[in-house]
Parts: sequence; structure tokens; C-alpha cells
Amino acid sequence: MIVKTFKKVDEKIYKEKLDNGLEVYLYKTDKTKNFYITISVKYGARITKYKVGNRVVDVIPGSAHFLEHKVMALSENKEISKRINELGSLANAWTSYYGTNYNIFGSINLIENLKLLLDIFYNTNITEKAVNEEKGIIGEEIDMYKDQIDSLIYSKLFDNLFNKTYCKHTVVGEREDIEKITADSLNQIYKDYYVPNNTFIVVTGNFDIDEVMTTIKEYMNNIKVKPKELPKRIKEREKENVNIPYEEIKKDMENTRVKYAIKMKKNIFGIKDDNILKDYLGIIFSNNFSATSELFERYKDNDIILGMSYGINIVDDHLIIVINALTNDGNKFIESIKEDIKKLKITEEEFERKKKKYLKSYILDFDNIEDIEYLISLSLMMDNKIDYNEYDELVNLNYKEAQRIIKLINYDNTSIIRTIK
Amino acid sequence: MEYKKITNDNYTLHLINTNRFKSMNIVVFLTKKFNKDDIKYGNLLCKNMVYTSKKYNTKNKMATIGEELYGSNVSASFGITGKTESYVFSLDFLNPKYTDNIYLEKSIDFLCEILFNPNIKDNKFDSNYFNITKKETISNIKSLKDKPNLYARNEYSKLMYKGTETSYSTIPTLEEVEEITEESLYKEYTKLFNGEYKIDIAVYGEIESDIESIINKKFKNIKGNNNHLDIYINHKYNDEVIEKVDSLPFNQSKLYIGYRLKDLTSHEINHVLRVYNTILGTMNDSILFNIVREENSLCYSIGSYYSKYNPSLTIYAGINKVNYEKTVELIKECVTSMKDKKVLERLFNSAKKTINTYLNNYYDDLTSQINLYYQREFESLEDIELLREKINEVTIDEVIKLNDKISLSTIYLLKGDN
Repeated sequence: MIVKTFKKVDEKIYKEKLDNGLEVYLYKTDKTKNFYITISVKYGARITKYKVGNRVVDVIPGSAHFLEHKVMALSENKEISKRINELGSLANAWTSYYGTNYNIFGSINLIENLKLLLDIFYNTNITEKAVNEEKGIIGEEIDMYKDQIDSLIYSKLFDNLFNKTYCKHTVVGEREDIEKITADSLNQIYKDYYVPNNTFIVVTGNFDIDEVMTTIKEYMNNIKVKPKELPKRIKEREKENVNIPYEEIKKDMENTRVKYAIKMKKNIFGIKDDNILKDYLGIIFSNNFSATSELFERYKDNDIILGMSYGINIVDDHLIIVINALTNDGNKFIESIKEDIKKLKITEEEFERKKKKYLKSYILDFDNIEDIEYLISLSLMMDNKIDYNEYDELVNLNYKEAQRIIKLINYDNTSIIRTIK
Repeated sequence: MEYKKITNDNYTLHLINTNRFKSMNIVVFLTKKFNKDDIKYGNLLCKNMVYTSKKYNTKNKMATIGEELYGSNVSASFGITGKTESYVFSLDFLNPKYTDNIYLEKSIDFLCEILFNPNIKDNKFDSNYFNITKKETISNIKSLKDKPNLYARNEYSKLMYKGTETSYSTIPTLEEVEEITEESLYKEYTKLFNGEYKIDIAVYGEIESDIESIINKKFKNIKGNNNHLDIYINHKYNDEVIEKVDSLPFNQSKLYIGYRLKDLTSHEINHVLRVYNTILGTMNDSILFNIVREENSLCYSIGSYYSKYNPSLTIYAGINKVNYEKTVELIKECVTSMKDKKVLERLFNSAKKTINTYLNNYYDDLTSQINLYYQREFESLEDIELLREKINEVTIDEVIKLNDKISLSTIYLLKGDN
């Protein structure tokens, strides 16, 4: 077992990779009475097509999320469900573009909870009847998200920004997508991706590290799952230009929502680590578009916005920067932002001040066992590694590099989406 | 964790010394008897106080000082709890051991600047920022119809709790906000520290011995009272069942069903009801989840919650409008099944263990810990371990007996018309 330490906060992670490829990450703390156990697979909604051996599979949008529902099918696994309840534990699951996470939060008998979670993960049996019954539930979930206007137009924006890439579809898919999903299609994905060398376990809380490690090894020895050749994700070739540069969505809403996005290749910045690139851009855009900026103050004073925020996203080879506005005058905002976004600036003093907020956020990540688990799982799903040196990297972010990055930003390739009454 | 309470003439200081978290928090609670005429000021006053101050007299400067203090943040909120209303001002900042000791006093100064030095000139709030925040407030009111969950819950509360404090939300009417001026808002501000409110100050984190004197120095000029405040509402429910359907252009419909609770004992409201609610609507395998979602595929989200200050039990679900009648009938059957000993026996022990897990969360949640000490100023509350003990003593028969005091009161549907 390897021990790794996060700088500054002196928090430790115990890590081991089993013979079958499964990775285990353990974070022990005596500051809590609860524990959090998760098992994650690096398979999420961004896989729209893949090849395994000679077989090419087109994935129906919404499949990763649908599969999550059917793996975590407690109402169909009565015995497991009964036992989880008897232990007073809470079981849940989530799906993102990058991966799928199954979790149990509890306080009694960690070892039994761990075995139950492994049972859920490895004893999946998806039937056509169960898939059809689940369509009503997921349909309601899709409708719920569609009623959340910000989530709806965010999805539409990414659909417009890209020509073929995965984020043209939402993680949950559309009702017409899920109608096409069958037990066979889900079982195929399960067999291809839910394999030990594509999976990792994270346990956080107060527990005996050796006991947990031994339990996982024994369980794996008993079920004898072997590593398999991992499918190769087939990425669609994405065009450089945005797909749709402007769209209005008719919604009878009080305020206008506008999202102004720019799309560019991320390699123009020459920074290999996506997270460091996002840190620099986060500082730059925070300085120009958050409440500390002169522009925010001016937009507020001139009644251009009610609220404004920004987002930095990396989608495969592309960088997407989004400025979100809540406004009473969409036209005025669009006219203003088109010019103002090209005037990015930051002083050395501002740069150092912005870094302080990032350092606070890093330190506070270690206060809660669920946050720590999320930090580990997200890093493994998105980057395939955990960055134990993040504190030093944040400290070492430098002003000159930020200035260089500002000069390289390409403002020409834009997509705008807005609501109209 | 060590707790110390110091009662002064003007405020009560709660010192909660713990190294559980890497942050520190100072929360100032201002509490008084609910008055519906105060609602119009609540959110607008909070917004004005945290938007700018005399020293940080632009939004820009206010945000910048927070960043200079390693992301120190002051939030303000106005709320209604039972028969009381309260303003809560909460400062959070990084434990100075990760930065520098000077940040402790500097962060407290930041909070005090917001509390005691608002952006006032000639006895009125700065007009520019007042107008900006007023516009934001008006926009929030007008956009309520764009938020289906909040809209439905507010409309449900108006029906369910008619005639009591709980029927009011903290969102005022447009007319009420239009009436407010820079002067009238300032007049409301002057009431905060002039003796009208009971004031509680909670300090949470790794506390040094000099914190008491620092707080005393910074808050020496405030005036509060120590008057007794009742929090429990004696709701005289009608026996009729009210049903109402509204429509808005959403995809999903929101259903709220309210049950009145009559004459519950302290044990029933604090212990038995918690077990009842867990079995019915919050645990993994709850009756509502199993019957309405899993067996009948009628919804994605369903659950229940209760109000102890205005005794009631509420069930909520996001459904398709065509399933309204069927869902209501199933929910009624779920509540009826709470009388069935066999059903309860299957879930009873699990529910208690689930509650034990929830109770453990108290130790991982600083807001819950601070709020417990604050709430004890108004009601007798057991500490978490005693509460656990009492809940574990609840019997199935007590849960069954609770059904005699529960009856259907309100059915509200916000129909999604898309």
C-alpha cells in the first residue's frame, strides 16, 4: 500500500492497485462518526461510440445514467436493500459525463456495508421488464431538469457550440432516447465497461485501513473477476466553428437569461495540465466578471445586468468560456459583452489576491468526508490521477503566465443563447 | 468540543471551541416576535447591508476585501421560524493558523463593518445601491412563477397554514416593496441594535482565550433584550379538506399534501414523529418511495417532512399531471398503511438506525451545531446523544397511536401545463 500526503493540510491517502486492476483509495479520519464508501466506474455519458475487439457500439444517449438506475436497483435486490436499511445506511448513485458513482453513507458496520455495495455493483441482472418500468421514473427526472431553466439553456448552449461532441446530449438524455434503450443494450455496456481495471473504490471516514483492504481483496478473490481489454472510446471529429452561433428560446419568464460562449482549441495555450489552465482562466475571468470587477459594477450601475457569472469548461480538445447573465435587457447585454470580453485585464496585486481564494477552497476541501471522496473520484474520472501537489501548484501560479494567457485567448468563435418572451 | 455560554445584558455569547473544521464562523442572530409588516424589509435590508458599507462603499470594494481576507464571506438572511422572525449574519473565514493571526481580528472587523457601518448618508441608505437592490428584490418577486418548486411550496403553505405565521413566506408583495424608500429602510435598520431584538452571537472553531474580550470590545455598543419568546404555534385547524389546483407552463407537476397534527405531546413531536416521518418518506426504503416511485413508476422525487413549530406533516412529489388522482390515492394509502403493524415491523428498526446515521451528521455539520445552541434559547432541546436515546426508546405502538392525531388537511397541485 502506498501512502500519499496532500501538502499544507497534511492529509493522507492510502492507495493500492489490486492484481485485477481495481484501485483502492482510503482516507482515514477520527473527526467523524460516519463513513462513506463508493465504487466508481470510469464510464459516463461522454462515451457515445466505442470499439472493443472488432465490435463497434453506438451508445444511445442517456444510457450511462439509465444503467446507473438499473445497477442501483434496490427495489429489485430485496435482500441487499433490506440489509442496507437494517444497518441504517443511505445508498445512492450519480452519473456524469466522465463516470458513474455508487455510494453508501453509514455509521454502523462499515465492512458489511462495503460488501453490500460490492454486491450491488457485481450482481447486476437487467431485465427487459425492469428497463420498461424504469422509463416512467427517468422520464419524470428528465422533465424535472427541463423545468430548471438555467440547466435547460446550458444544455442547449453546448448543443449549439458543438457539431458532434458528446455534450450535444445531456447526461440523462431525452424521453425519445430512453424509449430506445433495452436490457440488451445496457447489459452490453455493463459487460464492456464495468470491469475491475476500469473501476476504483474510495472509502472515507473512521475505520481500520487493513481490515478494509483485506475485505476488498478477499471479495475480489472470491468473485474472480478478471481484468479485460478496455473498450476504446471513439471520438467524433469536431469542427472548429460553433454549430449554431445564435439561438433564442421562447420562454414566458420574468427575466432574460443570456449565455455568451467562446470556443477555442485548448492547445493554443501550450499548457498540458487542464487543471492549471482552468486555474489561470478562472482567476482572469473572476477578475473581470465577478463582483470584484469594475465591469460588474458598471453593468449593475447601468442596469445592464441583474446578475452575472462565468464558467470555464474543457471538452476534449476544446476550451469553452461562458459568461452567464440574468438581465432585463438581453440586447444591451449582448452588445456590451461582445466588446468588453476583449478587454480582459489583471494587475499583479489582483492576481495574488485572487489566488488567496483558491488556497482557502483547497484547504476547506478536507473538512468533510463526502467532499474528500468527491475530490478523489472526480480527479480519477477526469484526469486518471490525484494531484497531491495542488497547493504548491496554486502557490506557484504566476502573474506573467496569466498575462501571456490573456493575449492568446481567441474571441471570434462565439455562440449566444438567450430567452425571449 | 467545549461549549461556554455567557449571558450579558445586551447579548448572549455562545463559544463553541472545536478543531473539527479548518474554518471559523461567527454568527449573529437577531430574533423577535413575528410581525407580518416586517417581511417587506427583511430581504431588502439584508441585501443592502452586505452589498456595500460606509468604508467599502462600492460592490467592487466589498467583494475585494473578502478576497484579501482569504475568501472571508458574510452572508445575511431573514427568516420566519414558528412565532418568531430573525436576521442572521454569518461570517466564515479560514482558521488563521493556515494564514496569519492578523486575519482573525481583521475578519471580525469585516463583519462589524457590515453590521454597524452601513452605507448611510443623511439618515438614508445610499440611493444608487438601494435602487439596485430594490430592483433585484422586485425581479425576485416577479420571477417566483418561474421557479416551480418554490412557487408550489409557497402556495401550499398559504393554504395549509392559513391564519398563522407559517403561511407567510419571506418574499413580500410587489406593492409592499414599491413602498419602501431609502429612509424607511434605514429606519428599519436602526431597530436592529436598539433593544428590540434578542441578540445571540455564536463563535465556532479553534478559539483562543482572548476571543471573549475581542467580541466584547467589538459589540460593546449594541443593545438587545433577553425577553422570553414563544416559538410554538397553537394552530386551530379546520376539519375540512382543502384542495386546490393551479396551472403554470412547466413540464412537471408539483404535488403537496398536508396532514394536520393535533395535540401531540412533547415526546410525540420530538421523538415519535421523527420515526414516523422516516418510515413514511425519508429512509431508503420508505413507504412512499417504494409504493409511489418503485412499484408504480409515478415520480422521480417523493418524500415527506414535518414542522414541529406548526405541527404538520407534508408529502411532496414531482409527477405527471395525468397521474394526479392516482398519485393522491396512493399517497393516502401509504399514510393509512402507517397503522399496519406488519408494515411498520418491517421498517421500524431500520428507521431508527437511519435516524442514528442522520444524528451523526450533526458532528460533521457546523451549522447544525451552532443552530442547536441558538435554538436552545427558545425551547428545551436535548443534546444529540440524549435525543438518540429517546428516539431509540420509541415503540411501534407509539408510532401507530400517532395516526389518531393525524388527519388530511390540504391537497395542492401546481399543474405543469406544457
